[in-house]
Amino acid sequence: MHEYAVTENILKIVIEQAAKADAKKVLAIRLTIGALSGFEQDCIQMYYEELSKDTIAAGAKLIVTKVEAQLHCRNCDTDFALTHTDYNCPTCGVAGVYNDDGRDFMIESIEIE
Amino acid sequence: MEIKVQKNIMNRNNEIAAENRQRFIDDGIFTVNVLASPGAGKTSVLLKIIETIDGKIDMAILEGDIASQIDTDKIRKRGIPVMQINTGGGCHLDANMIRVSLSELKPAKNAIFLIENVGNLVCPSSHDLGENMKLLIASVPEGHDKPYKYTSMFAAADAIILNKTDLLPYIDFDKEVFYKGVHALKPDVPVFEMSCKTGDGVADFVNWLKDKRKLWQTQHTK
Repeated sequence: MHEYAVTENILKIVIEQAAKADAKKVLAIRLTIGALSGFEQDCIQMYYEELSKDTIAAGAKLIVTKVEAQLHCRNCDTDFALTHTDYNCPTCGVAGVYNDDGRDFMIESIEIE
Repeated sequence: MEIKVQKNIMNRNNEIAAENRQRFIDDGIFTVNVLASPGAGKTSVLLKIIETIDGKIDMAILEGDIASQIDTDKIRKRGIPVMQINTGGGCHLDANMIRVSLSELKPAKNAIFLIENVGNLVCPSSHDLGENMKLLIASVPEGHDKPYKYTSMFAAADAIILNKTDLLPYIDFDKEVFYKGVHALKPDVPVFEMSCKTGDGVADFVNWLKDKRKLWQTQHTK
């Protein structure tokens, strides 16, 4: 449900930027979505198709770079991705702590003509 | 042609949240965003805080729910300024809803302002309201695996209450597994074990909240 509101935000920013550049059409939107941001790509895609109708951004392709969440082991200084559910460091077995990776939720760029 | 945008999609919410935060500083209002799943005991914890806290501290409560006035009615009976927001299907409160309700609710200067978010362990973690701290209420019947399943929420919490501890003898809740998950996401987060049913742990939490508010006031108010 909350993707609806953020998709409206995405569309608003994209149309503003496209208008500034005198674009006739937006062809693609590049997004970064972190695993910890709490937003789902498929859900954004669904709302985007609906909300962008009759705008210059209708039909634009959403190209998403996913950023996986990373944990940091304070015992042996290893960074590792969460691949299972116990948070343990693959090197030394001590529980890791999330770093800031994976919280991103950004519009990186748009492709216009 | 490619145009660089490099914009955080949550910018508009975050701008309004920053305005709310400034207003709270100007009026010395210590604001807590209360987060939990449905049925974890948000309203019960709020009522316990109201009962236990020093009567000289003004309170104000904002109740966020998809529908109904049930929670507001419980709080109004205690004579506390309270307002209900019904999101009408929306899964979280956002910064603008808080801004709009402030003009009606008008929390007193130096009040403690408790915002009960919509019962949901997912969406509310992504929306800054301008609060001073996020309080997450987990409860024993939900199970010890919640920090592993709702990582964004547990990672965002500034304090956690583990509620309904009176049920521990009856439920397979592994505290060690729970605490390990909690501290992986946030190593130094304080966790308060509490039972609203028996009153255990309520005073410890309320004292901590008062200290936290006092510290914030000395840091932020002129």
